[in-house]
Amino acid sequence: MAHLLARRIAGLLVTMAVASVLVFAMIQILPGDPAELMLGADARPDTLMVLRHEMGLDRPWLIQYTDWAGGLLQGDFGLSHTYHVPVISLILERLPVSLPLAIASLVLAMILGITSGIIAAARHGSWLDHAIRLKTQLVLALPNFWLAMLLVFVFAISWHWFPAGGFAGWNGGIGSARALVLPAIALALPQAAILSRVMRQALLETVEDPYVLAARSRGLSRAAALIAHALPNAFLPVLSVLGLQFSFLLAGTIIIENVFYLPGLGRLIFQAVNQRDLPVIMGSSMVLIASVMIVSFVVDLIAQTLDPRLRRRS
Amino acid sequence: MRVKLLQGVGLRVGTCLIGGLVLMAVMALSPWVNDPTLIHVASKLQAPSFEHWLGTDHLGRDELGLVMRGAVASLGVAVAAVGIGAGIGVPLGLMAAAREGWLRQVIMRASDFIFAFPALVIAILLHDTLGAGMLNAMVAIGIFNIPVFARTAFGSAQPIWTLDFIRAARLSGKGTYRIAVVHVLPLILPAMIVQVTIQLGLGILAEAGLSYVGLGVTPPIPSWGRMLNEAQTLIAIAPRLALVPGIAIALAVFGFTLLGDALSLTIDPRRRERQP
Repeated sequence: MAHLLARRIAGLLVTMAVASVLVFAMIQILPGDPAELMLGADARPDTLMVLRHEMGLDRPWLIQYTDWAGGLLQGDFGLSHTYHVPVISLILERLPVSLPLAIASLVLAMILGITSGIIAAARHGSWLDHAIRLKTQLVLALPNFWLAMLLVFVFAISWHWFPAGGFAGWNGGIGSARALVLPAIALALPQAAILSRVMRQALLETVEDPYVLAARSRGLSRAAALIAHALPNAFLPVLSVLGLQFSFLLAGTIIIENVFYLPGLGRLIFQAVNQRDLPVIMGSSMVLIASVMIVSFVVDLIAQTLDPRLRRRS
Repeated sequence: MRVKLLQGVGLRVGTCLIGGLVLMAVMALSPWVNDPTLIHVASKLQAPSFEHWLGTDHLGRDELGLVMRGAVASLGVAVAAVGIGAGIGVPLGLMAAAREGWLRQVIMRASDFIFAFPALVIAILLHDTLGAGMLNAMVAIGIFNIPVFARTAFGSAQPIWTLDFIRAARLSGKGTYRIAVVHVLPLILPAMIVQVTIQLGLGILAEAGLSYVGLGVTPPIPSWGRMLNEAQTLIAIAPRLALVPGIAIALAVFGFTLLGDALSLTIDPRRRERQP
């Protein structure tokens, strides 16, 4: 097990190194010179030269890469071109918005999705099952930003229950959390629909398994057999989907952050690209990629602990 | 029995929705329909009437005409993106299944990497190279589709390689790639068709999202996503403008989902038995 773990960690590190090369390469391929963008199109060539030198853009690529990657290892992501502050502090500033939002919507999605998936499987074939399936498919067909707009219209504009957008920081305590309620719901509903489908399917796949049949023949009802015996086994596919969803929620919320004017990670990247703020783009991309990889790494580990068969296969 | 019925209903409703979508797109392009992009500020924000069935938007454009034209952009981007994804992804997945060793590793790791990269970041980065517009949306969504198709093709092709008739084909002297194309590809085609249907629906969602944040279809070409963006500030005055394009998107995506579900039940008899 320890040997296996070491191999997996080594694999993770190699993937991260490759990812850093790819991110760096992609940024270099992109057209547009950040120095020119800062000074405007009619800047004098010599001023441009000086600025490029100051930003370190005139050095060979290899040096620029090793410099940047070496900094990453020490937690130094470089300076933002636009804000002239360390990239890491910009990212850390945004995390208190993005992280609670991602966690809140994931928890909400889990509660809604897993319970409705279990109910649908336990009452398989009934009208309730069909209703849940239809609802899932409908929710999956809605763009989440449209869902967000409708939520704003109903709960913010018509009923004034929640703010329509913006986030003033965590100083207000519970009051600040209210600003995240509508975005969390808009993000959670489609994820809950996916979870509900996976949960239902995974449970139904165990129905014919001998141990579930054995439980039924001992007199357990269908629902009891599913919940007491099938649920722990059916949890593996749900777990891997959860891992993917967390990464998605952390990174893929750019659109929802736009609807609600939330200062999250997504908006940071969005603005950085528009301003050609290369250190910010590279740094935040690396943070996102790293979080995706670490989450999937942890999910794999949990899955292997839960299911001994997976351990043997790898 | 009941399931067969439901499956039939899903198939029929799905086909009707997609048929309606295509019909809308074709009609919008026909020369008999008035150009919905013409601006008449004098008749702005009118309620639905006989002349404008769904009313007009903030620039006096006919909402129904805009929604119909929006179907063109949606379908166009989705079809092109899925074409890119399937055209590159399926051969890659087939190759990864056929060849054990480093080639498989490279293909599967690379698709993991693209998968880990947020799709929107790809779109934003491309936006600088290609500029906003339909092409940007097509390529960005297309790139995101490549690993999806590579994975499904790999997943369905890999078990086929252990079957007896493949060994027979090998014994008869056929090369690896020839077997992949002649014997494996036809067997995974049904699964790929299901995936295409699902991805078309997701493609429409993605196009709407990109156009909504201004990375997709640009004015004056009507697009559902951008219509929603424009409607957002007017939602308190004219909620109708936010409802219509959203419902159009939802129905189109729902249609593709129903179709994909019904197709996968028809194609995979094992799933049919499991569904009683």
